[in-house]
Amino acid sequence: MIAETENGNIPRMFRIEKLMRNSKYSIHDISKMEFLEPNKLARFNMPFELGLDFGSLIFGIGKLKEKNFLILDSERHRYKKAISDLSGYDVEPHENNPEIALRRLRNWVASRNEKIISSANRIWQVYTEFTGDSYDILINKRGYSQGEIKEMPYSDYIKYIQEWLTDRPKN
Amino acid sequence: MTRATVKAIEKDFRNAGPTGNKLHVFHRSGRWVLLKEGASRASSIHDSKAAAITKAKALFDLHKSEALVIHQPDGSIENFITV
Repeated sequence: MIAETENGNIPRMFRIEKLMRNSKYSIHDISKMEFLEPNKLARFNMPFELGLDFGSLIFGIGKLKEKNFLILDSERHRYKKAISDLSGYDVEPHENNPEIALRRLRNWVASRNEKIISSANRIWQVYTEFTGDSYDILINKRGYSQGEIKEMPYSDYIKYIQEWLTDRPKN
Repeated sequence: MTRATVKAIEKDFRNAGPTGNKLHVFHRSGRWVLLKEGASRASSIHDSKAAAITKAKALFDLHKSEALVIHQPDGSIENFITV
């Protein structure tokens, strides 16, 4: 599940709830459930949102009970130390490697989709083409700074990807 | 940012895909790949990033590419070289 929403007028939890209610597929990455500094609490938004979403399988009605879940973590059995209740469910490890995460995600989507979808290798190639074009357009043509790109709202980023894909030749 | 600027940027993105003509050096499964934009197969695959960049620079003029894009292992841009 992508919990990156931007409308500041609506409390974050309501935006997340709306996403959960409308999503057929739920993808949760709990790899950042770790200490950022010694003696500091870890961030627990992601496992909290996973638990909330998981509740739809138990307490939800209709389509909510049929949601598909993909849970990603950095290592295969790491979650058992913190969320042992997840034992028995599939938690896919990505080793903090974007390519492996993409492969896990692609294979999971492919197994739940009748259409044949591109290989992870091809998707990675297309992603590199997008990041190259994105850099060229925003920095070279539009005068953005690296910092501005890093702080770009997620909704803008998604919009640019959609526009970029619009007339792109399929190969 | 004005609505007109946002629309102009969206148009830039919409037109970028089909007209792209860049060479990319990026990480793939522990190796470094040289890819011409739009191609479905890699031009060459190298054990080191330096070797991939050397090869890319040699092919830069040959392919009449508009830019050579060097990526970080996470796919983000490390360097963008134009003619």
